[in-house]
Amino acid sequence: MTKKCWEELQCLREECPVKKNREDYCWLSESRICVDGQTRDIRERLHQCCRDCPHFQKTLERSTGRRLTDQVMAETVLKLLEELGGFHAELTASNRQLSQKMRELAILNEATKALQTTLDLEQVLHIVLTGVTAAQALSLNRAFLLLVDGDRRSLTGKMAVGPGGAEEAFNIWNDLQKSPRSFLEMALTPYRQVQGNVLVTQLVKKLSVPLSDQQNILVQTMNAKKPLLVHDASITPGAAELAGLLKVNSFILAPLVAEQETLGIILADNAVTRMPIRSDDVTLLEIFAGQVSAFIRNARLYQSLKDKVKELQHSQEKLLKAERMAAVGEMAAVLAHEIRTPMVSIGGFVNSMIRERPDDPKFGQQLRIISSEIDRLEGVLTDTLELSRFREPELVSESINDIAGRCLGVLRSEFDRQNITVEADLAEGLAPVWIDRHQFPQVLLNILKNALHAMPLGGHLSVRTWLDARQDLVISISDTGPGIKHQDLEHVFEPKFTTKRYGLGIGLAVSKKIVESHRGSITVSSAEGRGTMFEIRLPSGGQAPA
Amino acid sequence: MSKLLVVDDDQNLRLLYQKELEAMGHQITAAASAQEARNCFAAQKPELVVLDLKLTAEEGGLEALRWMRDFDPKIPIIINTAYPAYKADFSSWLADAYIVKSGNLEELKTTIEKLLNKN
Repeated sequence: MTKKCWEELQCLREECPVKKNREDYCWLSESRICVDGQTRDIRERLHQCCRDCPHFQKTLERSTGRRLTDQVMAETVLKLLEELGGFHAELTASNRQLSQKMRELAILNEATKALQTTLDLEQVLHIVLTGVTAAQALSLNRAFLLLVDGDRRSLTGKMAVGPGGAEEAFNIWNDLQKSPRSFLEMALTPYRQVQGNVLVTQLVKKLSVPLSDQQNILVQTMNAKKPLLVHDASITPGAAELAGLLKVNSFILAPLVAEQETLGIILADNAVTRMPIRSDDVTLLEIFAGQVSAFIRNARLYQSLKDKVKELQHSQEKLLKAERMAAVGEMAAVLAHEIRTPMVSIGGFVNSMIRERPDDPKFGQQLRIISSEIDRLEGVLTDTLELSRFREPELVSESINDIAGRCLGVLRSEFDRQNITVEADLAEGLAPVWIDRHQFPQVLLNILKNALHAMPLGGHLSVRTWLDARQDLVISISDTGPGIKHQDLEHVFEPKFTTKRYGLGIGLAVSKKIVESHRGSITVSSAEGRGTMFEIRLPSGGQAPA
Repeated sequence: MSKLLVVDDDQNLRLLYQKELEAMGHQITAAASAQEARNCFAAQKPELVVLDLKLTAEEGGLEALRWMRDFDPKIPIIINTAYPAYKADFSSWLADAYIVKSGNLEELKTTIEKLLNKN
């Protein structure tokens, strides 16, 4: 007699429900678990046991023409189909997941390809962040990227990608529906041409953490060199402040590590959809961050190299310019001597003749003309020499009131000697300005000396400083001398304009050049018989000009 | 009346300065080189020196200034030169005044009077 399964299996447990019914077939039993605890899923049973079970085989062999056996066969097949159906569903789900993973890997591959096309740091960061947020990729709503600064003292927000809110997100997704773009197209769009990202950019620029702050969750995650998923910021130590700034309760942090060096961190969230971040997202972001870190490091190195090359080029240009200027200066000095010496002879002897015969009716006027023209030539020569020796200003931060005060102090005795009253109205609390401490005072001294010469018999000198409506710093110097003729006014700053200079002053042409090299401007206004006013405008405060 | 020594390698300028400064009532000795100036210095014992900087190749005005100062620390010395640039040279600070040559001699004359009166 053919044995039943349990006999084949030598499972003789009295409690076995199938055993009691000798007409039942164990592989069809609803009970999937034997009383001895073994799981006997029909697939497993059919796979492992029933195929080799002579009882199962004989039952199937007797199937043709036997109603009972047909029924068993039908029930067996139905059972198999049910199981297969379930198996198929599981397989389909697995296939779907696999397809998703394949797609994500494809995007990682595309991201890598995109990253290989550029060494520009800004573009590299944009590709990375697009990889985190693109719907075809990690599909997180927003991504922020922070990098460790060059001096390795702080972690600073550099770039962010993502919608500012639900409305912006809707518009973006709507646009993408209408005009689908591939991941590569989005990633390779130059960052500055990308619309949106305004709000997230403002947020990321606020993020700056000293690396010494070991309590900070960003620093801790970086030091751990492992990603961190914050499910609930309200109960995660150190996360509340960041969550408050980003206005989310859940976010993910993935450090960027290349060759054991931590470069920065990616922060991502689903601020718009509020969908929970899955563990799959964490894994994928970790893989992604690992892959892109090397590209970010290379881009930074490239940037650093470019900066150094630019610095070297700048130094080289300065050196060449200095050499050129030295050569010009030498030539100018030689020319100055060769031209000035004969001019001094000519002018000197003419003045001597004028001195001896001041009222000579025949030659008096002509001699005076010659003397005046020699004066003019000397002015041109001096100004030209000064201009040829002009060097770029070396800027330091100074108080303009202090400089004005010192210049007035230098000429105080001269003002007193000539009975000139001096009024200084210097605004208080003015921010320092960036000026060359040797060149700029020369400008003020030049204008003050011009005022001195304009008032040989006394007068009034007024010096004022103030901030104008555009927040430019203004210095004005005005006198009550005879003023400048209207037709001469527009030529005042030209090198050939005559100015009587005693001692080593600089001309107005050089003064203008110095002011303009300080990114400022100088103007003059005058009324014949009433006096002259010079106004100098300088940009105030702020960072030193590049 | 004071005894002035004018040192300049240009003949025309020596003539000019001699003429103009004598018209002020001073006694002028003119030297064309630092070597000549050295001889005049010892012999004439001037009360003020007007010194050009570009002299002969053998000895320039700044070297002459140094030995003049060594010889007489108190004598007023006016540098009278076509070059503005030497004002930045510390050596020129040994002088009492630095004037850029001009056909208008007013500044030179005024400075001479001021220094002589001070002395």
